[in-house]
Amino acid sequence: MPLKLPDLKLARRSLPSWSRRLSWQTLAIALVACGMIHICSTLVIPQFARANAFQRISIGLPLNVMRVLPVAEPGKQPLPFIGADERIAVCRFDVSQGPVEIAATLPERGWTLGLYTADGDNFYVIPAQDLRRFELAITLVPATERFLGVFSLGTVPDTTASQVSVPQLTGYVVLRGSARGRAYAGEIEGILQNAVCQPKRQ
Amino acid sequence: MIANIVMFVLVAVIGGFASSWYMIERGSPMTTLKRGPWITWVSAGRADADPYTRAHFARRGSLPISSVLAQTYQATTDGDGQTLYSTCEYVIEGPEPDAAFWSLAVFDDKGALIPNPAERYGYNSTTLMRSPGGRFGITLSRSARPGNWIPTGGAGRLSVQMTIEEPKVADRRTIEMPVIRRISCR
Repeated sequence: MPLKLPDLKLARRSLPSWSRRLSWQTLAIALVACGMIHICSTLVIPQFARANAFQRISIGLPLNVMRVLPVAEPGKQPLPFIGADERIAVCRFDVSQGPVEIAATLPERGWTLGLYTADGDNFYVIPAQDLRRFELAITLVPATERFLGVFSLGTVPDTTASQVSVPQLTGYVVLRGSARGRAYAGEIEGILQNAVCQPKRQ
Repeated sequence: MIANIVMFVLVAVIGGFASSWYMIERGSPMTTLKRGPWITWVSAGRADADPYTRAHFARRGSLPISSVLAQTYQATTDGDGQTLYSTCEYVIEGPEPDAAFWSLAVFDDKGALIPNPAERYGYNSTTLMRSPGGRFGITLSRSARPGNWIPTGGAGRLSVQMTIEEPKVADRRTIEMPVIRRISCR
């Protein structure tokens, strides 16, 4: 039942004295400001997060070269929440000077090859297939060049590798492997070491 | 005047930052899916992820596989809602996820591996021992246990992470997640 005007006045009188000095206008402005601070802080955090995964693994990482990260062990994890049975090779790609070719083997389930933007968007991921070794070869091209075909002018059309257009000129290739125990450590290390990330030869 | 300034600061500044922190750290039904003690961020790693999911993983510093391919579930409590501690013993049990591949690992609450002489930090679908019925059980304990055992040392608060790649269910809400049951505490 709606309160009548005298009831509202009565209710206001029953509030503590300090609260009677609060203005509804200030509360309304505060709520709007609350929303703005909420939105701004949420949007700004990814730009300023010091713990950003790619900032951690980028240290000393050259462009267009695949590097195998060391085995995760207590106190020496390349990233948080990375298990010791997870092996990772990373390449920081840059397609501003031309396409970059990626080649890797995905030997069994549990292996994936993912492409990330520098903001952490996993825009492309391909898992291993059942019951067969999967030899993967892709060429990264800038999103615009794919349609213009600038890099393929005057060359034989490339039909050996599938092209992936990348939304940003720089980003990361992450090859993940799954360790099955020490007996397989050498084999897994070899597969990671053999992965290729390099500028495409014209 | 002072009361109005105090109210403005409380509502605008503290309210704005606190609500943002809560949505980024804990998530909400809009951004996360809860299955018992397990929580997954539904848009993790995706290019069309919402700002809360982006901020969550940027802050956490981890590298999620796109949730289109894999769902990563995190649990920091047991099935009764009690915080997971290394001083307690737990069993994680249930049917094996119907998926191409899955892994389960235990970390401290910051995502660091827990040092232990056995150098054992988790299991995956290729390394786990199963019971004949297709169910599995993994014991989290300081002391050695038979079967699948993950040592928890003196880590304090624990975080269990389970990644399920290519689940063979149309609706991820129907994935049957294992239960986390407390056995005892010291």
